[in-house]
Amino acid sequence: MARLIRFGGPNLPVGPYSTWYDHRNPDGSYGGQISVRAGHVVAADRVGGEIAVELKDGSTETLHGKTAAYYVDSGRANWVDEDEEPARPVEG
Amino acid sequence: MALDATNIIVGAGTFNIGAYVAAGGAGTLADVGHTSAANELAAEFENTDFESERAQGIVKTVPSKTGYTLKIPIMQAESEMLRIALAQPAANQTGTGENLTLRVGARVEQYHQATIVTTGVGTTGVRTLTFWKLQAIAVDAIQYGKNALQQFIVTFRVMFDDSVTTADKFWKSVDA
Repeated sequence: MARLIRFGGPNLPVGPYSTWYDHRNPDGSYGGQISVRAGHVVAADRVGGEIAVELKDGSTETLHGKTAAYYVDSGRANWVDEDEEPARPVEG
Repeated sequence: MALDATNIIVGAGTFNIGAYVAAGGAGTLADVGHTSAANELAAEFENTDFESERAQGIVKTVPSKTGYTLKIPIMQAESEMLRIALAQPAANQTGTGENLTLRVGARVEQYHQATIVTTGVGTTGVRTLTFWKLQAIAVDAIQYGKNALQQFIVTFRVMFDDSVTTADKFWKSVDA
């Protein structure tokens, strides 16, 4: 099973604070910019990385989204080992 | 475009603001809470026009200046929002919890990242506007009165952030 991260840490405390990540769909396409708060759990391989974005003319461009390691290293997420279901919150 | 009433959208926006992050990195943003009116994004464009001796109209026009401003009527009169509105350094605010002292001195050069999360037309109906580099440039008169709402109506200028490597140097709108 893919590794998970749980958002939250010294730089993303519980409360009115949020951050966001670029969501990568399983097929590598862009799933939008997702707002998350402390406590949300997401599959690490859905977070950023190289995401193919389809342009209106049919061509594709690669978006280099920040990866799960970026959020962990910046004190806003932690690696999770438990068998938790990934969440995809949509609130602000 | 085909007629599609589901794409007519109305809805409040949640304004979140935090410290500036270079190169389009994700910031840690705080929800400012209640706002007393709509969040407003205004655009100001200037073009330089060129005329020709051989024509009576403008034959070429080149975009020469682009500006965006955000006006946010912040209803929750928390000290941190007053600090941001008045462009005070973080060190000018001391204390713990809600018991804070804000010492208002000279404004400093201070940038913020912010998002407005609102209604969109994508799969989940969420539209996220991300502003990479904001500067507070004005605050309307703050009212302290027996019938007055003490609120901070802050105008932010949207800067052109050339550290962002993608095309969205000012801001972006993402429907998901």
